[in-house]
Amino acid sequence: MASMFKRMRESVMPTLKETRFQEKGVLTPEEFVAAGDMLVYKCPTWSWESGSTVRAFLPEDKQFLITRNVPCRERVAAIEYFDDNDELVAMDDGDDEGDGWVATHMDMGAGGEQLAAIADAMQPVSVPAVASMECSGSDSDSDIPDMDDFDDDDNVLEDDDDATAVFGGAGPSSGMEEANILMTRTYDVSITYDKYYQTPRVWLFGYDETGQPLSQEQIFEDISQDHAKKTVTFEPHPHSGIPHASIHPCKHSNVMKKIIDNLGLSGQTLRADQYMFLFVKFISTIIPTIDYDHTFDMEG
Amino acid sequence: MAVQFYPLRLVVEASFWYALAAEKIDRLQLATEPVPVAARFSTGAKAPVDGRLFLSGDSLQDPLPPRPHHHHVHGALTLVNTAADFKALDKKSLFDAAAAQLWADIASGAWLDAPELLLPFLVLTYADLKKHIFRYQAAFPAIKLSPAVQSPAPASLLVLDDGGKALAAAVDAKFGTDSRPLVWLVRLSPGCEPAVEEVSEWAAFWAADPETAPLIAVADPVSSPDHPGWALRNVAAAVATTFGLSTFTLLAYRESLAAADADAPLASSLVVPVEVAPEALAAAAENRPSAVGWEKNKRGKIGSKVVDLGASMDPNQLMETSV
Repeated sequence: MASMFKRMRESVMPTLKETRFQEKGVLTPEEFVAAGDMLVYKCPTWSWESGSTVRAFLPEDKQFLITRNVPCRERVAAIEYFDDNDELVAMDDGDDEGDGWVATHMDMGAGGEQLAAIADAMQPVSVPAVASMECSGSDSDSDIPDMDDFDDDDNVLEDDDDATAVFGGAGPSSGMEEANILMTRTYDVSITYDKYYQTPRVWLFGYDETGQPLSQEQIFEDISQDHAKKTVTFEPHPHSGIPHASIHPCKHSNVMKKIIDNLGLSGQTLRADQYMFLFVKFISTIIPTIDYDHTFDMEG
Repeated sequence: MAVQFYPLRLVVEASFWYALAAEKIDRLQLATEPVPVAARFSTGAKAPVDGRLFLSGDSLQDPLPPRPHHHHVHGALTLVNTAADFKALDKKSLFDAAAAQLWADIASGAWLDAPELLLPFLVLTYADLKKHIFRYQAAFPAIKLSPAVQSPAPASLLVLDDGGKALAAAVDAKFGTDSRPLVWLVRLSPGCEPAVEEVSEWAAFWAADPETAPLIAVADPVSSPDHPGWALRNVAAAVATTFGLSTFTLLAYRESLAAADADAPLASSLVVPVEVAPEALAAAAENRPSAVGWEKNKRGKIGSKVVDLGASMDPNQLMETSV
């Protein structure tokens, strides 16, 4: 319902026409396209896509950005609270719930400083209604036959074959190690333009080790616990209608504004077309173990 | 020692099931004849993941819309109407028909003009559109020569002085980024720029520099540091059959697009020397060789998989989760 309301609201909102980037940290659709072009140019693992629902204020072939099949080798719980690289930052709101932003991978190089700025500027966002959301379908689970039920019962379809390599099979590098790196979850990460908040918005769709879609609860395992069920919600992707996990964009512009100001103090100017570089680095604080390409330099 | 090829996995994106559900209701209805379907893959994932072919929301479109730096392969999808029909499907004969077509494309040389014929695939599905549950089973037929393709030397990582930048640039210049073939020819002569050519130009390419044997490059979605991917298996059989070669070198081409790998985009590519025994070719000429390639489930057994999209497709469940 909320998303339907938002779609309606979005449809009557005028499109942002003039740049308000320096004052407000928001993007016009044209600036979104320019920033996306720069991202795709600097990092070809990202590409533009058109999707099934075309929104008229963006070029037909540049509706949203996506990078696919991104490995995610460990769960957030495996690194959170145990990794010396992580620092807890931004406790400045005095909130006793300890809703600070965990900035993981602070040593990621070029982006480190900007990242700290991002973390500083972000205020905890609360979407209380979502926190109580339950993973649906659990009660209907019993109807679903186990996928292993269907092991081929007309017996062997084919003979053994010594030219087929197997997981953990013989090889120069240790079998265990290979099995480990090969069996990972993967994610499709996409970035759309949110007309209401006038910022980019991130969407996640995950697959397990065997290529099956991840459930909502499983996706939460890959989202920093400070954000899971607070800034991250499940909503239909605006270009496909398929429910994705999404990082709520209501604070994105404040963060960018803060960064623009910080850079301004040190005499630097951030151009709107460089927005996406910062943005993808910022996302990595929320999904620290999803290993998409965010390691490039800021120099555009 | 026999070369061991790393098997592939078919990853069905949720958007494909949406498209298939719509196609079944609007167009296919109760028809169960196989329909063409296309899958995409890319190579050189930043961190190693196994070889994955993707069915997407547009996989039932013809032609498949291009995606930069992706390769296309074509398959056949059989969609049955009931769970019982799915169980009763004659999987063996469907697989055998695909294998026979594969062998015909190799024997006739049709693969030279359409190398993607060397990586056919099958998908058998049953869609429960009331519960939004999809059952499927995939196969990637591969020719099983007897004796098997041997490795005179172990596969090794491709080592080039410039990390493969010149070769990657030559491939981009030759084919562009939107329509990469599955197989092509590469010549790395010392002191020369890398040369790249379509596989159909085999004779001319070879004649241009008889001293340096071409590498047969195969786009490889697998990232195993030890094993070439499944597609190289059919390419080995096709090259040996068409050109009567017994020893040649395949290149499992894996190009990373990540900015972090910009200095060595081809560093995970594998050079794979192979040897095909003349007896294997003689036997294959006599009787069509058998084929293998059913996808295994996570317990390493051949079997079907189930995807439950009730949580994202069922209006009742959606209403419960909507805020």
